[in-house]
Amino acid sequence: MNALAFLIFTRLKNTLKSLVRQPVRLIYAVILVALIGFTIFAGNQEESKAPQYRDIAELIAGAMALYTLMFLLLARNGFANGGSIFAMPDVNLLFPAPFVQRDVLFYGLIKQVGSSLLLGFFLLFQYTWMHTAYGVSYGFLLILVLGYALAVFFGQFVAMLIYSLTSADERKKKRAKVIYAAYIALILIYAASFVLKDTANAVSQLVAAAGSPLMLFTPVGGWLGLFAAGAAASDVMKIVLGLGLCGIFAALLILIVEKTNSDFYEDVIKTAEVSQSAINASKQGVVAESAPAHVKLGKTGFGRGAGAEMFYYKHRLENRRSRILILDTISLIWAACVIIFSLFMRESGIIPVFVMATYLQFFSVSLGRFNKELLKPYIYLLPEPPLSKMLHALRESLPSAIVEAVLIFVPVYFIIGMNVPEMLLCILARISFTLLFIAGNVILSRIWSGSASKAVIMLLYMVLMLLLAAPGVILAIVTAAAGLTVFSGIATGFLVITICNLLIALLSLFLCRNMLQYAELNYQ
Amino acid sequence: MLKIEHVTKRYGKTLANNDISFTVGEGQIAILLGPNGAGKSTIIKCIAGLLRFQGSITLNGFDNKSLEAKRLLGYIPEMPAVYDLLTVSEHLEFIRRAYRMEDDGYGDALLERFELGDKRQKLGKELSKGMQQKLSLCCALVHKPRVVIFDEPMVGLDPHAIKELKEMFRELKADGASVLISTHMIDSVEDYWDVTHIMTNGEFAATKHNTPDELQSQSLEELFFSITEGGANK
Repeated sequence: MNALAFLIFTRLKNTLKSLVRQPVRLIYAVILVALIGFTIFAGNQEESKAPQYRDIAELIAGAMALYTLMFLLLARNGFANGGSIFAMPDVNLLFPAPFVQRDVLFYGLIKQVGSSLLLGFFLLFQYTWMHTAYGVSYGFLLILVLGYALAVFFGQFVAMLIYSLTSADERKKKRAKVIYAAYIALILIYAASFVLKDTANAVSQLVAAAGSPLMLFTPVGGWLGLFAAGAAASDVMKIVLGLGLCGIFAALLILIVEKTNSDFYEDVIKTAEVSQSAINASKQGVVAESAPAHVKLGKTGFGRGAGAEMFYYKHRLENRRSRILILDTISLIWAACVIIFSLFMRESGIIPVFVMATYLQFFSVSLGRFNKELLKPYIYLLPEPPLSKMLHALRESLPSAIVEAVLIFVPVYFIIGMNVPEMLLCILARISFTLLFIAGNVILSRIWSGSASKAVIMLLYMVLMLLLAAPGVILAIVTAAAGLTVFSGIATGFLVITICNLLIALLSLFLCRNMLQYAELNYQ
Repeated sequence: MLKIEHVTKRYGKTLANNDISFTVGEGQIAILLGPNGAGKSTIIKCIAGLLRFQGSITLNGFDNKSLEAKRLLGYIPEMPAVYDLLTVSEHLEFIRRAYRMEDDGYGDALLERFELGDKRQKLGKELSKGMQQKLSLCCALVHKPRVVIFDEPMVGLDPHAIKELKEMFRELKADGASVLISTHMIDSVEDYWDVTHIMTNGEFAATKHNTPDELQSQSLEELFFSITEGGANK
């Protein structure tokens, strides 16, 4: 076995061994598998109740949109850093070693395919609604995951190539940016041309645009869509064509790397260093600031505030410099995902959309500045009452939560066709979940911060959030079963969830009020 | 005065600090000296109120978790603690306002002293690691603490900053502050210390006072290596 193959297999073997050596990881893996099993079970249970499936072309159009989005987002990194195919240990150990560069490139690409597959893991949890709405089999879901992994892989590879070809020449970079923008514009114009033909049926028109030959032959999302469409219809020709085009594209990219810049090592070092810094910072308990490369300073100084409220003013200033007016880019992307999801689920009502929105919120809430603040010493050192420090450090989350809820559920109101009280209560329920998840984060930091591994914390986080959310959901179901309604059954459910969540969140924060007094700021 | 009594700290099954007791009087400089992993940073973090522990830590008689104690404390962490998106000036304004202090010009004096005067409008993320460490020092000292704890303060500093910092130690001592410095570099503590505690495996292996009598029998360096590389000589 050559050294690179040895490296790949040994890393894989050690990853599997670590599951046995660290039981927490094994438990975590078992729970994830159990959750996937649950989604399969829940999806299959629904089967008999909803035999009328929606057109699978809608799902394929959605998958194509996701593939294209991921490809474009990752490829865009090529204008700044390049792709993150290689890590710092590769740079330090492989690059100086006597390997043929092409072999090292292949090693990086194989490694990247593995990482990309892991990134598509979240799709496996979408089985229930996909199966209920579109009659998707688990095999087809795996095809969608593979498509996602390939989109991520090509995005990384193209980013590396863009950086390699343009980093040293501003004119080339500008030209590449024009091509990139033109590619996006053409896709949008083409889709819009379909929608404008029949605006009343915008979704059907978008699906028709996605299924048109021109779109299916668009790199890379189109090819992967062609592959998925082939798999859905058991059309071998489409499968071969979709995968074949991807294969030719991959070969072309490798050829371009070899012909134009065989010495690609320099082009990947910057990204490897940036990634390594982020890893090191994370190990030392520092959350990397997602600030733009060139921060516009604007007005300097605080000019107001005293004591614990300085955290609030500081967060506002930091948000301004991060170019986050109220919501960050990730929140906006999540909001767009929920709105797009509601387009496809408009006949199923608000519940699946709300569940999806809450599911995404589950992962996005922990990104607030409060968690970053807990990793710096100042919040513990300041001579101010701990509850005051905690509330002021959390204060910035409230306007964001309100705006985010409105931004998501006002468009959803028009798409789904709820009534106004339902929409308002839906927004309140969303805000209450934000507060509940924030409270969950605080509990986690209060009790387990620094004393458990990342895997344990993630596991506890999942369990804790489910426990905190359970009373509201159960009470809403009980209320519905008892036939109690205010405005409507759905509105009542949201009202009950809101009240329950708020009470639990406030109680949790009150009980954790001394967390900053009895901290455990440990990075070991 | 900083008083540590019977402090024990465990990380799970690992005993990081085992029944540590010592005091740092007013106008005294105490050194925690020990190899990597001896438990120096742990006791420093316990004093700063960043870790839970068994035992008692008081600053001028106040429990270290109390607001009164926090007002008295200055803590310089091993890793520079700066905010990426705040300018150098804003860091000092943030601390000043958070401690409810008027701007008496001391922050500016500190910036000049540590050669950050021309970096006032630079963001935290634009500073080199050494500059971040200097800013961290300024942030910890701007509210004029009476008990100052330094965790490996020399790491990453340039010669000028090291010189200024050593001078700062002497000034704090002359001003009656209690100063505790954790380090693994024997050379860096020179002659300004009053008492040195040599730590190994989470415990004090020896305590040496800076008196001619004690130093005559054995130098600090000889004592350190006799403990870390030979039998303990308590």
